[in-house]
Amino acid sequence: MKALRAGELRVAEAPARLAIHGLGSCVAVFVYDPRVRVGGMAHILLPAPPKGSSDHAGRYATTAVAAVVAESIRLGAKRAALLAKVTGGSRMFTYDAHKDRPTVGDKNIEAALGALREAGVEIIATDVGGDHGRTVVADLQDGSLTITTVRGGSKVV
Amino acid sequence: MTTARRRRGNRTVRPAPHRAPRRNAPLGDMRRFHVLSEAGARNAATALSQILGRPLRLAVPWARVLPLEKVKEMAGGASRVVCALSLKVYGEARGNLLVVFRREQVPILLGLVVPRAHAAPSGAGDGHTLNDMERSALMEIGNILACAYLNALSHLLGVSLLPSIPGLAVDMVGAVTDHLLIELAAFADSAVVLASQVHEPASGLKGSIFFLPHPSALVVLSRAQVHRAPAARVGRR
Repeated sequence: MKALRAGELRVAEAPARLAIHGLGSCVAVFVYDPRVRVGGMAHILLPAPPKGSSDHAGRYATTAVAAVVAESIRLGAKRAALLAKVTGGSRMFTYDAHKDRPTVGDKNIEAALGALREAGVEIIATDVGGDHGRTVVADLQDGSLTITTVRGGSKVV
Repeated sequence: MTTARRRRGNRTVRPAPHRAPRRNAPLGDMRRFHVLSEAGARNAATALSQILGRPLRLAVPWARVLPLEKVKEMAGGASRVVCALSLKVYGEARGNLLVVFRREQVPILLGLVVPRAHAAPSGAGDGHTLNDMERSALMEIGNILACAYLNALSHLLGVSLLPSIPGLAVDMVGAVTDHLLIELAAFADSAVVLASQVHEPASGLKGSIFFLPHPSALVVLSRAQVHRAPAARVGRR
């Protein structure tokens, strides 16, 4: 099992598993093609890159989604067959004064979903928001995404 | 009384070999950051030891430049569950403060600060189901540590630093440090981290304090008037 660090993206084929430990307000996007069992995951920090920057594709929702889709296609996935699952984007700390403002987590979720739609990838599952961390494991064998929290045990989407 | 350990030999400051921060911090700056780290931690430990009425030890503080993706490893690895108090620092040197206790230590900490009569059995043993009293006690500890820490820095820097209200979370290190990375990722590939640990020998309580200055604050921090450290003489120029 390969653990992704913040800002990292990685593609793989079955039977590989990709993991992110302790996802907070960052967002994980997992795309895969169930027929050829190929796909990838990105550990996204921010919605979009600063102007004029082309470094660190994996850090930003727009560039990371585009890259993970392109890399999966290069490994043999078909764009039309790609399915996506999105998780993360929590608000870990609430500072009273900012309760109603959208958090960076909210913005990350929105940007990731927008980028997937733009790439023409169907989003089949989301588990986003909340105030808790998640550990996620993506399994290329069956396309499952297992999400574990410190409070609520684990679930598979 | 705070017993700060003074081990000269251990006071090395190691800038990470990987990448210098955007504004290439010379060693002189790192020494200053280290002195700030120690001064902040000593003040925080003094405050906490007075609240607890027990002596606290201060583990050797450090200041380092870490690549962003390594920041999550600093508090025991991304999956470890901790009780974290997060404060924003406003003023002339912006940044983030994070106070971290291991989850198993929450009951010890609460036992030290919450009078028994008020300590309703809340199942704080697992650290997730804290009642309001316990949450506010922990937040108060965060507040006191942060204020004491920042006071020392203010004093050495001659600027005013104001902490926000603390946010509290009992969760994985990775999850409670995401916001630190996110804040820096748009500006830099590495983070300057000032870290220190306080330790109460009798109960085994251990807490870590991390200060991550915003990149724009580094220039302010490097102006620290450091008299007693040799760093002042070895500075730039």
